Amino acid sequence: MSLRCTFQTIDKVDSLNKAQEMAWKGYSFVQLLATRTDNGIDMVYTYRNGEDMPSFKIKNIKETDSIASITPVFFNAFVFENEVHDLFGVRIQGICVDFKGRFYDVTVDKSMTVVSPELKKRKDRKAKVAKAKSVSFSKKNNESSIDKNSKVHKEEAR
Amino acid sequence: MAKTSVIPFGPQHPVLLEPLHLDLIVKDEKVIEAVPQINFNHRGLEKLVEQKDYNQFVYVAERICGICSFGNSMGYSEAVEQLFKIEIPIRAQFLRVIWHELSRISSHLLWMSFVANAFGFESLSMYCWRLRERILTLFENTTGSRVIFSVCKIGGVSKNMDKSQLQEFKHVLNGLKDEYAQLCKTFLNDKSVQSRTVDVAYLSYEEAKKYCLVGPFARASYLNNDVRCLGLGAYGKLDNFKPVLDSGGDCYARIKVRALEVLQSTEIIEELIEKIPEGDISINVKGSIKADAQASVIIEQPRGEAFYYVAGNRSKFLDRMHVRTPTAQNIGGMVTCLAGCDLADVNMIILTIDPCISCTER
Repeated sequence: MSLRCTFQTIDKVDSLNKAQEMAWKGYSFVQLLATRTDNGIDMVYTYRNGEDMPSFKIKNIKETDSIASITPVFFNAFVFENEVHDLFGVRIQGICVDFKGRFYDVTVDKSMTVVSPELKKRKDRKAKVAKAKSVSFSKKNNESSIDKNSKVHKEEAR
Repeated sequence: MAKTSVIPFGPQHPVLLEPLHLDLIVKDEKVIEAVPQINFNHRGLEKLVEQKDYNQFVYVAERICGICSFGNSMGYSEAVEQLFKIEIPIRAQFLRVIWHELSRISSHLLWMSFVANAFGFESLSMYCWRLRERILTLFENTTGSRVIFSVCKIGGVSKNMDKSQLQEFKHVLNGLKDEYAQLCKTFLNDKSVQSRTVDVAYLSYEEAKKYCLVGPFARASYLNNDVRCLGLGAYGKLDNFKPVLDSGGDCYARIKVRALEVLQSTEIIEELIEKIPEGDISINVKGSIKADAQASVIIEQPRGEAFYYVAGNRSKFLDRMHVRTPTAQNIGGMVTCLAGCDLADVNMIILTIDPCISCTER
């Protein structure tokens, strides 16, 4: 036997419908996590039924977006939804037990979205390297086209 | 006339060993509702992936919790190995499961001592600690450490066990069985224990399924979601693994499930020691993670199913690492159990879900 893990992307408005569908099919709710990306926040819902463990990703959630809570279907998801709200700033509407931002009452607001100096350094270095590569690539292209032109001029001169 | 009041319980309480706060809304001596509050032990460990690369983060993962230390490092390592799509040597799989099952015995003995202490049976509590010392000595002899072992790494394990060490395991576990049987007898047959636990905080199979409970908390309500049944890793080499289930659904059933799981773990370890093959204990894992890679893994920790998610993108640093621990999953069920119980039973109910708040908050 093995575990079948699959990842699918769903729309923001489908989180509750998908939860309902999973509940009807006999799946249990495993977890909800969020990730900070350059385009916003991604959320991943995971369900499990035996060896089948599908995960559903909602991409690029902005600050102004609002996601429907799945606690009417899976009550125990309130722990994860409060966590995602407090640490990532995602607005989730209709949580059965809503702590209104006091579940993880940390000093820094939306602490998991803060870009640390180490991460910023790595990103800046990556961007510099990418820029340098593109400049050297375009330089090489220019040089090779100059070479071609000079060859053509030489042939014409002959 | 009945008066409603709110009694704060925790995070500091003589019988509560975890930093959990509950606002107990009580009427006379009956709890009507319990509102949980955590956030006393949040360390932001998941954010450390930005500073530690995937090899270094194993040492952070095993420090998420002291009791579930090995399980956390094993789950994290398996998730990263899935990212790289590699399979570790069979001997390493066996060694991981042997240490993991020994970890389960240690965790359950620790829990049993806390439960005995909670219902006032001090000598029984000390007896459990005495037995647990032998397990910790085994850990020290094979890994060099009693609590946080640092033997799991990406690609396998960093320490091997020779034949003499494996035989010592069998010898110690055999010697433990008689004394443990006496302990079990007291836990399960003593009238004072039964008076505090039988018919307390009953949760039916349907409720356990509805609240997606995991671990012994679920198995005590006859809900089988034991990850070991999937046969992943060395668990697939076991002849006949059957999870310990009980239909009692009360605190007594939860004690019974954990007590019997200790015996089951000793049998698993003995079987794996007989079957462990010779060979390498690790493979070299180098390089960066592929673009937009993600992987998830579940393992059966002593408290239940634990979920690990990792994602990376063309670097030796992970973009994200997430752990969903069994206690986080069981908090909903715990709150349900507390509604309608007697005030005197609150600490027993909380203890029977075996909470581990440092895991939950990370």
